Amino acid sequence: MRHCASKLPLFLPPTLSIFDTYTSGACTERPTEICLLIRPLDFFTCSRTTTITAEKLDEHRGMIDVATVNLEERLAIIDAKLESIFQQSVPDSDEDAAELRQIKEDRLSTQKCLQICVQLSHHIDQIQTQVPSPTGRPRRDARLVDPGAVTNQSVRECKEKLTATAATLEKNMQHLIDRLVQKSKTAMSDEEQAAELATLQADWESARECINICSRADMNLNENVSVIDNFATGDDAIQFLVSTNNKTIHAKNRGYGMRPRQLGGHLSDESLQQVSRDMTLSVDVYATYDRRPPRERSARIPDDTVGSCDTDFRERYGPGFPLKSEPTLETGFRKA
Amino acid sequence: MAEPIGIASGVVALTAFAFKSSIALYQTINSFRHHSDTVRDLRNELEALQGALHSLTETADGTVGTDFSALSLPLLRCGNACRDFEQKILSSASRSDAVLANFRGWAKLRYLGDDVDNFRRMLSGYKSTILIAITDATLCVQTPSLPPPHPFHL
Repeated sequence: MRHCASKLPLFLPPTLSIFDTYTSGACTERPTEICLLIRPLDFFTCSRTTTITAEKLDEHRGMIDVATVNLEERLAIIDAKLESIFQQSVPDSDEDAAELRQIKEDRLSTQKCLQICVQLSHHIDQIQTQVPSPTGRPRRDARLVDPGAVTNQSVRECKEKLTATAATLEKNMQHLIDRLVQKSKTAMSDEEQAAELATLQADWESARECINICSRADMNLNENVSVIDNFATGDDAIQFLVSTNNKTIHAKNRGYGMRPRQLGGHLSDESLQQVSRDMTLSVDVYATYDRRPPRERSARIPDDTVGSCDTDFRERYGPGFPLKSEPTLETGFRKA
Repeated sequence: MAEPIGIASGVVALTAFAFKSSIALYQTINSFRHHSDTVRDLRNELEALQGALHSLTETADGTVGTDFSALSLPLLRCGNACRDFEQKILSSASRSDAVLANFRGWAKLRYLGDDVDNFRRMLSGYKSTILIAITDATLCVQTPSLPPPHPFHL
């Protein structure tokens, strides 16, 4: 038994894709690996390379989590400092006092609402992992739905709405702090304290911006990166790690049985369907061949029938066997 | 006279400003001897921050289609914080301290009420944000002008 093990970077699409393709099995009978190069040269002109691996992605996810917690803590510290300064500021008039009180109330209320948004968002993150994956299987009854797909869609919409609400609240908070700083500055006689207040305000905005950057990175990681690990031990396995919408793929195709068919890359939906049909068809043909009696199955093409121009065919693909059918353009094979 | 740095200066200029400020602070800290663990941690954090800023410059220069404008305010604040902290050290250290390269006032140093360790944690937040933004940009670069994939025919 000869083992084939290869790592094939098939091609690099505009969004990053890293594939590992492994095949291991009896390679003496026919080609066991299908390597497809799609959109060859034009891709390389706009492609980018990276050394990021699935482990690095985990590291990236961990870093986002830690940074977000630290930045939220930092924001809370700045909030407390601002609060203490606002408490010290003495309004000039009753009118000012009333406005200040109102702004402070609004600020506390916005803060509470933001906390609720964060808690709910964390809760959604936790339950999102429990939602069953969409099967993509068509239902015979039109009234039936894919429960995983429907729930996933709702959870996603919920999260989007929550993100929009949090953004509105953050803007509101920013305006309220601006107003408070303005009011407090006028009540401050000490220039240094007024400058410190302005710096704290900038710091608050900066910390908030950092949290937003982390939050967007987290969202991109969850929504735009697919991590796939295809592992097949049986014969005639078909493994796809394909994106039809240019999503980033980090994937491994590992086939350890006989004749695995592997495909990786960014394809149009139409291409994927065609390749899927063709691969299934070729598996059927080989399965039919394997079900034939051993004597008939072992009928090989005699060496003398192989022309001199095909001598390297045997070297590359094995001895082959005679087909009892004629190939056609539509189906690939026609029954005899 | 050079244009004062501000939020509208652009990411490249702001990155350069933050880098320069962090180097200056690093050198000022290094000009004193006898560092405590806290100060050594701050020095290490500054080195890591400089590494992150360097990567940001390289990524922004070498990767088409990336947009780091969201980092403008954090970069400006990071640069200002380093510059202000350096000023605090210099104003706290007496002339004799500077001559003897022996500053003992680290524990009393405060920036916006933060001590040395809290200041380091603030810098750590900026460093992490920059690194996250770089990785995010590298992962999610889209080229909208790219035509859809061609149908593939066997």
